[in-house]
Parts: sequence; structure tokens; C-alpha cells
Amino acid sequence: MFLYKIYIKMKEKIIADLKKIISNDLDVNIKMDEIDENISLFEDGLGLDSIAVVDLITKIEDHFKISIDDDDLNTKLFSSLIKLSEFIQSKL
Amino acid sequence: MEASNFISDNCKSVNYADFNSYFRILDNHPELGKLSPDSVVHFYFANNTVSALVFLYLITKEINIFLSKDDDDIKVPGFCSHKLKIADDEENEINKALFADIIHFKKIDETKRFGSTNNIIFETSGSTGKSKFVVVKKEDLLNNAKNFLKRITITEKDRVFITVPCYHMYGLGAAFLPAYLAGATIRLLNKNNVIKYIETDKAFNPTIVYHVPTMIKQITKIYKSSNKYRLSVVAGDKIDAENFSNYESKFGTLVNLYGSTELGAIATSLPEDPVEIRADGFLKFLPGVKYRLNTVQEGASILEINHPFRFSCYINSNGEILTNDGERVTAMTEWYNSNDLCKIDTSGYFKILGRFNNSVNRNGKLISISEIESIIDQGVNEIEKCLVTQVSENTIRGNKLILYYLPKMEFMEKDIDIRKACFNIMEKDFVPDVAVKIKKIPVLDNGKIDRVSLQNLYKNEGKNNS
Repeated sequence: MFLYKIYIKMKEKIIADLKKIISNDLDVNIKMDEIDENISLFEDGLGLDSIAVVDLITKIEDHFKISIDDDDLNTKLFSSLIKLSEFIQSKL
Repeated sequence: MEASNFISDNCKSVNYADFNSYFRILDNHPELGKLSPDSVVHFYFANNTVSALVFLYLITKEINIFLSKDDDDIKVPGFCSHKLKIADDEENEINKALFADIIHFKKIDETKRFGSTNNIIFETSGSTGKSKFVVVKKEDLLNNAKNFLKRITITEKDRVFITVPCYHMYGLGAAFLPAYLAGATIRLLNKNNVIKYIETDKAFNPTIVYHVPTMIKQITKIYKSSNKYRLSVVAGDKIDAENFSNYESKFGTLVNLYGSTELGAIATSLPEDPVEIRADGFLKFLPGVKYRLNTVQEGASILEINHPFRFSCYINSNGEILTNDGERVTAMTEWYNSNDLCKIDTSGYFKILGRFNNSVNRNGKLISISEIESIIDQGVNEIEKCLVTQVSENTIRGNKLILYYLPKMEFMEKDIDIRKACFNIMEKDFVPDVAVKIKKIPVLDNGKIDRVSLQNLYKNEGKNNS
């Protein structure tokens, strides 16, 4: 139970950090409180284009000190911030 | 041709050997049979298997096809008599039994008469703001594709990955049709983005890929593998030498394609040349393409081209024939003014310097705006990329030049005195009058820079910020 709580807290913190990165560091006009963690990051959701996604990947690697391998890069990973946060958590 | 070769998208795949059985189904389609030779069918060639099959069928029929950039019902040009819509389920395998049922025809105005047949009508990209409709004979389009194959070898052993839109001349005339004519296995990717690209690339394992310039930089940055393709082709704005070399060291030989909607493929860099020559933008004309130069100043001339497989004419949305300048005429001349400034050497290599109408008269000198951009890109370390436009406001030196600059990541938040840096590296007449910082380069869906958007940025924001 204790470990599960830590897991959830960590996940929430990663999602909050991701929202901050998207809102503050990317060239997109999205406010933090407008970001729904359940929707896709692409055109059918948050609307990030290819340039913004490349920028996001670089910033995630810097911020969380992880390396995202080619095999990790797939559409599913960017299908929601929740999915992305779970992936980041698995890399930490 | 290897019958096991196929055309595919993310879930549908059809072998070449099965194409005829799909074409026979379309032969019996009740609406297709009613088309007359001067019908114009509005068709959105999405980069998917069903669109490819339908296009390959339509190109053999005695009708005209308008290749639309989208499937929008509202923006159908007045010259179209019918609209073809594919009600495709993109998530499932192709179902031959239901194939005819997903092809729908909407009659727009059956009384419309185009006046000729067997044409493909393209809408130009509009990077300079105004779209035109370009009429190309089907025969010339196919010959153009065959001519491209004389330079860029594609064989049935190749696996060709097409990420550029097939409704543009580049995607259709230099990618899809040559790959199809060569009998290669083709993978189409609709609405490309860098993640879809990497995902598909790993699964498809291509030997030849087609890019727009923005994708070259993005995949070089985040794709960590060094997949070596046999060949990569890129068309559109020039890639700087550093990005060109970085891409090539990871992914293999990259060639520039120089072309236009009007003339199709005109020239390419030679795959066998050293990377330095290709990265520097040196090109050679394709077989049969003739040129002449209209010298405007020492070292720079406007390129005029006589292409054996050129377009027939421009038309407006009512189907009336236009000239290059928008006035009605009855025929186009043999020589096409590319409006590109070029330098050519005695061995037949040439280099595009930029658009002639993208030149500016400053202090009595005609200066290529691309040259100004190139000097700043190479000489100001803090800049990732710059773009220069002119506005019709007079300054002491001539038309006002606006510099839009994208700083390198580490300089994004810092104040950079760009004009001061420019004065150190170029003649005073070259130095732009105003500098506007941007956070990204606006691009059109074909990868070309959207200069109209930039002009609007200056009009709306730059005047206050500069």
C-alpha cells in the first residue's frame, strides 16, 4: 500500500512536470490548466506538431535525465500524458 | 515485376498481382461508367492503399482528375463535374467484396464541359500566397516519372517509403509513379509526423525514402539508429550543409530534387557525387531538359527551362485558361520562366540561388534575399535559422528588409544584437532593417517555408516589437 502511494505520487509529479514543460518550454499556445492528461499529444488531441514533439522529447531527456531509445518511440507512447508518464517512470 | 511486391499503408496491403481484380470491380461501378471524357473528377489522394488503387485505375480512364489537397466538400473548384469520396475504414484490412461500396460519387454539375480529356489538374502549393490550378496531360506526367527514373534508379527490389503527399507533383511524379513503374514495394504514410515516421521506418525497413526538408532535421535529431538507406530524396527549400552532412552520415546518400508542379522533376544532385558537392546544392538537369539563361547581373541569371514533359496551361477555378501573370491566353510558350536565380558552370552543374522575385533592389544593386539569408546563417553563431522578407516600405537603401531569426536553443531567452552582428559580416546594403525573433519556422504541408505567414507576423506583431 505504501509503495503504491509512492508510485501514484511520483506519477502525478511526472504528469505535472510534463504539463509545465509543454506549457512553458514548447512553442505552443497551451496553458497548463488546459492540458487533459487523457488525450493524445498529436493533432487529434493537444495538437502538437512534429517540431514540438521533437522539442518535447529532447526536453524530457534533459529534465528526467533519461534516454529515449528508438524502440520506445511509437504512437502509443504519445497517446496520452498518462502513458508518457508511465513510460518515464519505468525509466527512472 | 515481382507479383509479391505490394503497396501498403498502416493496415492495408495489396499485392501487384491483385491489382487487376480490384480494377475489374471498379469497371463495374455504376457511377464510374457514366463519366464522359471531359468530366473532371475531384479526388483526394490521401497517402493510403485504397487511394493509390483508385488513382491507378482512374489514370487509365479517359477522364480528367483534379488532385485536391483535402476531402472538403465546400472548397470544390467550379471546373469539377464530380467528386469521388472514399469511405475507407483506416483501421481494418482491405475487404475486396466491399471494395466498390466504399467508392462514392457525388455529381456536382454534370453539364460542366472541360474541353479536353486525360489531364491531371494540380493545385499549386501557394508558398507565395496565391494558388493556381496547373493542367498536366496524363501522358506527360507518366513520361516525367519515367524521365526521373533515368536519373534515380528504382528497381523491383526496392522498398520505397513515401511520406510526402501524393496530391502534390513531388509525391506523385517523383515518388509514387516512379516507384510504381519500377514495380517496387511501396509504403505510404498519411499525415506524416516524426513518431509515425520512426515507427513505420522500423517496421518497413525501406531502401529509398522521400522527405521534406523539415523532416531531415527532425529525424537526424531524435532517431538514434543509423539506418542506412540506399537513397534518400528531398525537395523543397535548401538544407544547410551541416544538416545535410549530419543526415547523410546517419542515413546514407541524400539527393536534392529540383522541380515544380508545372515541370515536374527538372534536375537532381548526382547520387554518385561526393557529399560536399551535393550538400552545396549542385544539380544536373534530367535528360531532355533544356535551359537558357536570362542574365540579370554578373554571376546570376534567371533560369528558363524547356521541359519535354511540361504542363499544358494554368486555369482558374472556373476552368478558364490563364497565363503566368493571370491574364487569359490560348497557349503557353515553350520556355518556362522558373523565376529562380541560378549560377551555372561549364561542366553543366548549376546551383539555385533563390527566387528572382525574392530579390531586392538596394542602393541600385539587385540582391538575392537567399544570399543574405545564407550569409547570416553561416556568420551569426547564435542563430539556428534566419529568413528575410521585404515589405514595400522605403528606407534610405531601398525596400525595407525584415529579418526573422530563430535563435539556437541556448540563446532563445537572451537578447542578441543581430543587426550589429550583420554589419560585421556583410555589406551595409545587405543588412536587414528590422529583426524579429521567432520561436519556429512556419512551413506549408509540402515543407516549403510559409513566407506569407512571416509577412503577416511582421504586419501584426513585428512592427511593435522591432
